Amino acid sequence: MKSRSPSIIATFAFGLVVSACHGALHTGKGTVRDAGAGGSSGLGGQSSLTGGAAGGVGGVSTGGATSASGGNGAGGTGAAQGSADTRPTLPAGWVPPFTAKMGTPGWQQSTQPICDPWQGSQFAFDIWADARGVFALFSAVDGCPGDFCGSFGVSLKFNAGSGWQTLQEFSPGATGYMGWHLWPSFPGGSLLMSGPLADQAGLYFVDGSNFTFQTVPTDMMSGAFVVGSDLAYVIDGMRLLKYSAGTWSTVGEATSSLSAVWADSQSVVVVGDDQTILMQSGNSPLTALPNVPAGNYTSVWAFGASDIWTGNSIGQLVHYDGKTWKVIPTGSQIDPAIGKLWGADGIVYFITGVEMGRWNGSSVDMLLEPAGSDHSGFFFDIWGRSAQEVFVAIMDRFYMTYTCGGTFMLWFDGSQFHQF
Amino acid sequence: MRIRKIRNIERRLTTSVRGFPLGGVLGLLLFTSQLSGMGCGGRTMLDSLLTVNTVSGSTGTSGQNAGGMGGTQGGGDSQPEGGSSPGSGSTGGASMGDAVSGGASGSGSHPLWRKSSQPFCSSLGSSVGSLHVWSDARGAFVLASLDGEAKLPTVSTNISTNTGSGWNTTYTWSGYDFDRALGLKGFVNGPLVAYLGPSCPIGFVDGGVASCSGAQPVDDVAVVNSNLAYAVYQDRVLQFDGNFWTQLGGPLPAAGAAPFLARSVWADASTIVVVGDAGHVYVIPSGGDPVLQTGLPEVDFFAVWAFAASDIWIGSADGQLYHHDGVTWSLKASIPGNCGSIHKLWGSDGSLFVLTQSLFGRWDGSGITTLSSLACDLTASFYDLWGNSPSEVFVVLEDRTHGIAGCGPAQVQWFNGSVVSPL
Repeated sequence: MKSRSPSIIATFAFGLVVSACHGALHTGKGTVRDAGAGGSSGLGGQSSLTGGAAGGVGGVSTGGATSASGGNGAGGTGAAQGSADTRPTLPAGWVPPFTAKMGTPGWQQSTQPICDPWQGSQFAFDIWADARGVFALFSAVDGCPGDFCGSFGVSLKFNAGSGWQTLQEFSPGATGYMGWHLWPSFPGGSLLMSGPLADQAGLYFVDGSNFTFQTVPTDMMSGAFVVGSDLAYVIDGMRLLKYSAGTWSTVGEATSSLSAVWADSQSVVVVGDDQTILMQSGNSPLTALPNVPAGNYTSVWAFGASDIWTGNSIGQLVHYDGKTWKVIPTGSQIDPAIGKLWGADGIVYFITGVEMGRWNGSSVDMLLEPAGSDHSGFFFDIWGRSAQEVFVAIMDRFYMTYTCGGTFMLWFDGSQFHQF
Repeated sequence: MRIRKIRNIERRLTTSVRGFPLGGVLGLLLFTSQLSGMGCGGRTMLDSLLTVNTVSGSTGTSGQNAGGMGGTQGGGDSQPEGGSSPGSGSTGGASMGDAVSGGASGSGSHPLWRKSSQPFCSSLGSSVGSLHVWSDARGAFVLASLDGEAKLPTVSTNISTNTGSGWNTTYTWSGYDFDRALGLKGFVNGPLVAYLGPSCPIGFVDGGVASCSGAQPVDDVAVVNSNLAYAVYQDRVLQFDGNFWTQLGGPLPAAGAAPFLARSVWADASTIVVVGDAGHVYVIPSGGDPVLQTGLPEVDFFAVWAFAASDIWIGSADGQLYHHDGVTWSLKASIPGNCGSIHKLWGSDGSLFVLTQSLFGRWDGSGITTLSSLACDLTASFYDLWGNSPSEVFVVLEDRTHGIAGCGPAQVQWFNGSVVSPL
């Protein structure tokens, strides 16, 4: 096993799009996107979009018609690169490919839906939320259905409740576009992102426009969880790494690939292939839990060491109460792997490839299911701020050829879904 | 996980294209005999390709009463109904052709097996993706995955059951992501164990109801009793305790540079035997550590059967049949040719049966007696083997000269101790 010095070695400041860092104004160079979209000036400079809440994160972007469709038009003269979005406007709005009836669109004062300017196959559509609002990372790679479609890149967006704004955008000329992810991050603090920034692929703490590279071996990063401002975990291949007191260290290593991690201040749980569910509590070593039901585990959430929820590749929720295991089928059969879990107040939400459901405390509710044979709905991520405010990232490929593409954001209020 | 999702998107965006059906071409090259009164739309059989065999009589190892009369002609009206051997002690090679074209043709007046008079018939598809058989006293069970032009893009997988009165489809899987079946076993007088594709790697089927028992895709399963079964995949052994499948011990270590990829498992209450690639054979005593066997060549072993820890048989990809007497391994037989790979072994009461792509045979104490055989080409293949006794053994095969019309390419045969007949 390689050993690297767990120290921060470099800090980069990127202003490709704009950079409003901690309330600073930002500007950018007008580029193709602005010209093509016919709107380059935006609404002028704006201070940090977070309004100072919780320390502020981000650089605000870029105006222009092709930036966030929320019309907030934050920031600067715009600088997004890449091709103009020449796709036709969605003719009659999005018809979700799910059976559930949608509630009134909008979230708080945000009424315009999120808009992904990139065209191509979606590599990432990651979301995370804290008290400041909702963050979303788009990463599109070359390859529309059957053909090259030309405009791919990376966008980091934010919504504090008043509309979607662009924090950062990177077109292929500025960075690679594979490997970008937004991970569960520091509440009120830095975003935890990975990507091939400046030819230095790896993990970054992102504060506004400052991308601070973390010297941890994360070539195969597949999960992360942040407990607090000074405690975080990431998984890299088969290793579990810990961030504490400003340094990174290796907690332990599994014998199979790891997929997801959950932690609190007392315990950390990682799951992966080959019936791998490992836990470390206190100062004990990272050890396998006993008698794990066989399977490949893809996701984990917990409410403590004696209330662990995992999801496996065949759509089963597997619960551990500290002594015994319980396997709970969700009924998912099409692309059934439970990709993500998120929970609060004893309720555990899950997404598979085409379905979303929850463990309501006593049984499984399927909340979003494909409408008939339409399996175009595709869940990418889930995160929440409470059991009544859960955000869901969806890719609906049937809309890839329209303006803003096939990426859609929903939130669930405990009884209904709303697009925003 | 994320990469997989991207791949899934790409997969959905890709139009499925299937190859040109093989059977339609090969059918022109084969001579087949038409069975009259068979039902299923005038199905033809491979009887012309099945051979009469010479038996080398000998005393059997493992206590089997080998040695035989050889060349027994298939039975016509003398075909037994109850599955008992008409010639006790006879292990003679059977004349499959005459048996099929003769009285055991399933005309309705002469049952093929017990009171079942119509041969297995599945019109699900034109080519066999996989085909498996298992049996107990209740009857015979066939798990078939068939690809068919009419069924694109799905693979149709079902279980057919014959309890002695005819074949019935008792469960069908059909879904977007269902992969083809990998194998079929069962609990005696209990659930069938179907190991399938990614959506339900280990499924239990009981009373027409399927449930997903295990989430880990496996390559083989061995059932010991209702509360004990084992499964293998890659370098892992799973154990079923009546409730969950859990991993037994750590990964089985590779002996050399090549990884250990398990292929088959046999078990009883006290011993587990796992065979795999590159000469890997492990014997695991109950509660003990796995013991890597030595004295074997570094070939791929596909099949295992045992009558006890001191009477273990394994078959290799290059047609070698090895025996372990509790102390040493010894080579017992070799099946030459391109179709000699031993991919299934099954035994009962000391009689060991062997299946390759083109041969259904039995160990007679000094060699392998051919019970029935197929041409070693692309026209037909044996797939699986199981039985209830030395005089009630089932094999499943694919006859690729039959397309989706009629009963399709999947066929079942059974051996009554002297004759191999269609079922």
